[in-house]
Amino acid sequence: MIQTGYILTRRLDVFWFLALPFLAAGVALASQQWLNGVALVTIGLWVTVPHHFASWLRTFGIPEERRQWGDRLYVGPLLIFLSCIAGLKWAPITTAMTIILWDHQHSIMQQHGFARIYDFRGRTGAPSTGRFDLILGWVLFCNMLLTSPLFMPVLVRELYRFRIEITPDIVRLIATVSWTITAVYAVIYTAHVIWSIRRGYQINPIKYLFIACSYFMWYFCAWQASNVLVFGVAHRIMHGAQYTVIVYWYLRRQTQDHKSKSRFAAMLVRPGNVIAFVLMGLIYAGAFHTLSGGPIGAFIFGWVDFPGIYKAIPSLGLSALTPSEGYAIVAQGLIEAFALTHYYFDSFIWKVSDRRIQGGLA
Amino acid sequence: MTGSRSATMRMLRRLALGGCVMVSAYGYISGWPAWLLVVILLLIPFLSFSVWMFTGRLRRYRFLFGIYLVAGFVGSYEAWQYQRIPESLTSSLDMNSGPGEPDLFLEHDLPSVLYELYPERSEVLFIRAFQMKLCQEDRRAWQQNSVCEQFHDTDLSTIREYFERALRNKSKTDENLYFHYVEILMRLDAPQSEIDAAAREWKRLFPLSERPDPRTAFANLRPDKTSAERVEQRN
Repeated sequence: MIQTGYILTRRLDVFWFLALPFLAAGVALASQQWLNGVALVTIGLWVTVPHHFASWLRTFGIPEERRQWGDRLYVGPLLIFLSCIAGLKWAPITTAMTIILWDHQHSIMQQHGFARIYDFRGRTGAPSTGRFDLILGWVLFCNMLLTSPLFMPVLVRELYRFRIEITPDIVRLIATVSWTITAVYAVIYTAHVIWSIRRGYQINPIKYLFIACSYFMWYFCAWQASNVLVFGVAHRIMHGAQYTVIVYWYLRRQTQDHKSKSRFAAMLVRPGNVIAFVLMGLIYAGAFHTLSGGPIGAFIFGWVDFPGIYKAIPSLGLSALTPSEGYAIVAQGLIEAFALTHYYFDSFIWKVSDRRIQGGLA
Repeated sequence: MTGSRSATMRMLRRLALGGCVMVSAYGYISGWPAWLLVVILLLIPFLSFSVWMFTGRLRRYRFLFGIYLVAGFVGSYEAWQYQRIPESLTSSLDMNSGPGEPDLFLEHDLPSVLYELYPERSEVLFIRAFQMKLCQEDRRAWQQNSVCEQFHDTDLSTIREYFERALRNKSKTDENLYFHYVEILMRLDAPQSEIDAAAREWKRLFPLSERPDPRTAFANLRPDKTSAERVEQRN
């Protein structure tokens, strides 16, 4: 009846898939207590952006899979970039809502994907289990969006921005209907699990534990946190870290048999090379943030106050530097530092009197 | 798809297209606006294209197509409502140029709706206080918007209370709350130490903000006082 199976190993699963949601919620609550408003940006920078790097590596890292997916890997991003640019010009609210809602859909699907892997690894579940799990994810997540005090005000505000005047009674009605659907589906889902067992299919308890931990974290943050910072930090840590971990292990398993022609991905995920993998993600994040003009202070929770070096002089009518002006100074400093490095190296690498250098000049 | 079913579908499509053309012709004679005629004429080709995207040779893109289909509809409505469609296009299609951006504070009273639902959330308390502030700032708002009538007895001290209730939740993502709290304190001519503490808290929580120091930004909002009165208040 019960067959346990793990995505990685028992110990790693306990940490990355069962304990991490609680750890992420703890970090988020600590951020709320002790960090400033930049925490969300900084966590996004060091966790979310590296997980995008993992996604690039996963998608383009293995030539055999790259060929399998074909033109979707090139046409898709091109269409997305073009529609984002057009959207920002003509329909920025819709573009922002599309990004947010797609992000939610992506979160549901990631947890659903892990649930499927649990069944795959444990050889558990009936053929219909995947569909029931998927609907469970959608019902639970949508219920959270439609009933929680964190998300519902945002939804109401956006509807008002489209001149759809939703009254408090309608909001309450939506919440009642949503909770009713959730309760009914919980009964159906449980009945399906019982039916599966009676039909002789085995179940993987780790999968159910994983689903419970993930949704507990989301629900806890959506109800107990007073603002979006807690949910944002906890969600980004759980989502980003779990994704990066599965990419690392997937690529490692796919490239370790030496059949794959992938050199770069194989090098990064080689046993003992995990630091290189993490480092590449962080370098990617740093480069992405810098090139997209993000404030330098965001790298370390805004603790370094670059504009602060030039204080305002009210008597002369001079105001303090804004962060972007401070960034310009730092960028200028970097350029000058590179120039100075060039001057310094040239002061000793071109000594014609050096016998070794003469070899290159002869 | 079997041959007979495919033929039936083709015939149905042609019939629907013919129906749309006839309705458009009737609409043209009756003087329907051009945009409506265009929508009716494009309806069947667009539906056929959508079905083809989901079932045809490019069905591998159906997920992307589905997302942008919905986003395209909503985005078109947004572009029209926010008057972002070029005027030359709207006039040639006999469309009005859209109602423009809604005023959520004075026209639609969003803060009251949210306040009734979530009276303790900081962002709700803040927009409620901000709405009061808008009514306070501009007396014409009272005449033009019935929304402001509910704040007959509201003064700056009440607005300050709302701000401070919101601040108790320690929201760290709403810079406006901290920034405008300094403004309210300055309008109330609060002691300088309180204003400085509020400005320091704003700077501490939002060190990367591009805004000027609120004490400078709202300096002209402080009630006029002689320097002697200020020294007396400080003491």
